[in-house]
Amino acid sequence: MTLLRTHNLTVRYGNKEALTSLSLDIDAGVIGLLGPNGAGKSTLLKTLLGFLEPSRGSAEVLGLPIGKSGAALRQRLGYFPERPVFVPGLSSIETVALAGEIGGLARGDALARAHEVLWFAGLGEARYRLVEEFSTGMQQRTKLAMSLVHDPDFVLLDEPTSGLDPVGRRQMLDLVRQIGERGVSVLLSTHLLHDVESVCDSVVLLDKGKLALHGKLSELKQQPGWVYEIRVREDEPGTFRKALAESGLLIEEGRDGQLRITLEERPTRFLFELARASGAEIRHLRRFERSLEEQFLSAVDRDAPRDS
Amino acid sequence: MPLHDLSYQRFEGGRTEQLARSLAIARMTTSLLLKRRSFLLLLCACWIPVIARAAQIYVARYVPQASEFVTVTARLWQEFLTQQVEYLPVLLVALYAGAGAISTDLSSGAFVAYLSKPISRFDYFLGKAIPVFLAILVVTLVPALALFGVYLSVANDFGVLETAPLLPLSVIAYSLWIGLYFTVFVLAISCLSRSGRVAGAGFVALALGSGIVLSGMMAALRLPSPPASLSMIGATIDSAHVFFGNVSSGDTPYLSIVAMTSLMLLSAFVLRRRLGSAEVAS
Repeated sequence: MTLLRTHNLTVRYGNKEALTSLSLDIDAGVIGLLGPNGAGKSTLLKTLLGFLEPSRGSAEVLGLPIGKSGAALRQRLGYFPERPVFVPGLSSIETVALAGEIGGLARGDALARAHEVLWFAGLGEARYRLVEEFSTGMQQRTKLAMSLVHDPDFVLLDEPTSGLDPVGRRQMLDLVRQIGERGVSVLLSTHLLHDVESVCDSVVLLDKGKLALHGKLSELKQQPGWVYEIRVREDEPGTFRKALAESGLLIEEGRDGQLRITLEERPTRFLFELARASGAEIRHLRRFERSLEEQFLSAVDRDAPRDS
Repeated sequence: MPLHDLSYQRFEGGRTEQLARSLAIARMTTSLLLKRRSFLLLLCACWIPVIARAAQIYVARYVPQASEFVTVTARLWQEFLTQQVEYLPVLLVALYAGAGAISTDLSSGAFVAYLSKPISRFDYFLGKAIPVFLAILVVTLVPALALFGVYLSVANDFGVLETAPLLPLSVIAYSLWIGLYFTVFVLAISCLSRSGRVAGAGFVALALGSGIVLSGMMAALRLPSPPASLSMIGATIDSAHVFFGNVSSGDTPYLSIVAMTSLMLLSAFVLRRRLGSAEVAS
C-alpha cells in the first residue's frame, strides 16, 4: 500500500526553497527520514501535516491529498514534534487524555487510552506528575504517547531520540519498532544513522531540500557486484590505478589512500594479475560492505556550504 | 486487553464530533484557570459591586426614608454593567483569563501539538475563547441576572419590568456584546506574543492607553474632548445606550458600535493571519 506519494513538491519560506521538486513514492512500513541539519526534514513533516502550504507540486498521504484533507488526514496521523511540548499545570495523564479528546476520542475513552499508551511508553508510574517537571527522556515519552493516543495509522516522529542517553535511546527505538510491528507506519526523522539502521525498513535521504537517496535499506546496502577495498605499493605511483581504469572497473577513493573497486563478475585473481602486470604489490585486500553512513556521505556533498 | 499486556494496542472505539474537541480544550483551560486561587479571588472581588447593588435594591424596598435617594429603575442594570467595565473588573478578568491563553501555548509548544490533531485553527480558537468569554459573563451577565433575582424576591411589584419589559434581553445582549468584544481583542493580543506577560502588558496598554493618550493629545492641542468611541473602555460604556434603548442627542453610541465592530474585525483578521502563519507552527 502506498503510504506517501509526492510529486514535484516544493515548499518555500519567503524566497528560500526548503524543499525542491521532491518526488517520492513510499510504501507502508517504518521509514527513516535522514538528512543533515537544514535538509528539509522538518519542513516535509510540517507540510504533510498541513502546517505549511506547498508552493508547487502535490502530495498524498494514506491516499488523501494534503491541504484539502485537513482534519480527515490528521485523524489518521500522529505527530511527535522536535520541540518540547507541555500544557503548563497538566500532569502527563491529563496532557495525553486531552490530546486523545482533541484527537476525537470520547472523554472516557481518551482517559482509558491515555493510561494504556503511557504504560506502553514506560511512564505508567509517573503519569500523575506534571510534564514540565519531567526529564528530557520522560518528556519524549509523553510526546510519543500524545502522538499515539488517538490511534493513528501513520506516525511522524521528529527526532524522537534527541537528548536521550544511550539507554533511553535504545528504549525509544524499541518503542518505535513495536509500533511498526502493530501495523502503524512510522516516518522517523533523524540525523542519526544508527537509529535508522536499527529500526527502519527503508530510508529517504534529503539534502538541501532535494531527494538524495531513497530505497529499501537492504537494497541500499547491497552492491551491484562485489566491492573490494585495496591498498597497493607501487614503484611508479599511479600505474596500477591507470591499469584499473583501462580495464573498465569502477573505482572510488576510499579512506587512507585505499581504492574501492567494484569487480562485478570478475574474480579477485584478476586484481592480482593486473597488479603484477603494472609492477604493483597488493598489501591489503578486503571485501567492503557499504554501511548506511557510507551511502549517506557519498550522497551528501559534505564540503558544500550548508544553512544551519 | 489482559492486565499483563502493556504492548501497543490499536483503538477500535468511536470518534466524537468537531465541537466536542473544542469543548475539550475549553474545559481543560477553564479547569486550569479555576485551579488558581488568585483568579478565584479576582472573581470574588469583581462581585463586590453586586453586593452594593443588591443592598441598594433592598434599601429601596424596606427603608422608606431612603426612597428619595435610592431608587430602583431599569437604569440600575445599565449602570451596573457599565461600571463593571469602567472600574476594570471586565478588563482584569479578560487580562487574567485571556492574555496568556494563546501565548503560553505558543511558548510551550502545545499549539503545535493541538494543531497536529484533527482540529481546525477555528476549533482551537473556539476552545480558547470559550473560557475567556464565560469568565467575562461571570462578572457581567451572571451578577446582573442575580440582581434580577434579588429584585424579584424583595419587590412588592414588578414596576421595573412593567416599564422596561425588554430589560432582561438588553442585559443579556449587552453582556454578550461586552464578552465578545473583550474576548476577541485579548486573544488577538495574546497570539502576537510568546509571553503571556508581554501580551498582558500590551492588552492593558491598548485598552487603557488609547483613551488616555488621545485625551492628552486633544488637551495639548486645546481641542474638544475626543468622542468616547475612540477609547476602548469609553466605546464599551457608550454602546450600552443602544442596547438599553436610551440614546440621547449628545451621545455617540452608534459610532462606538461601529468602532467596536471594526476592532473586533481587525482582531479576527490578526488571529486568522497569526494562527494560520507558518512561523507559529514551527
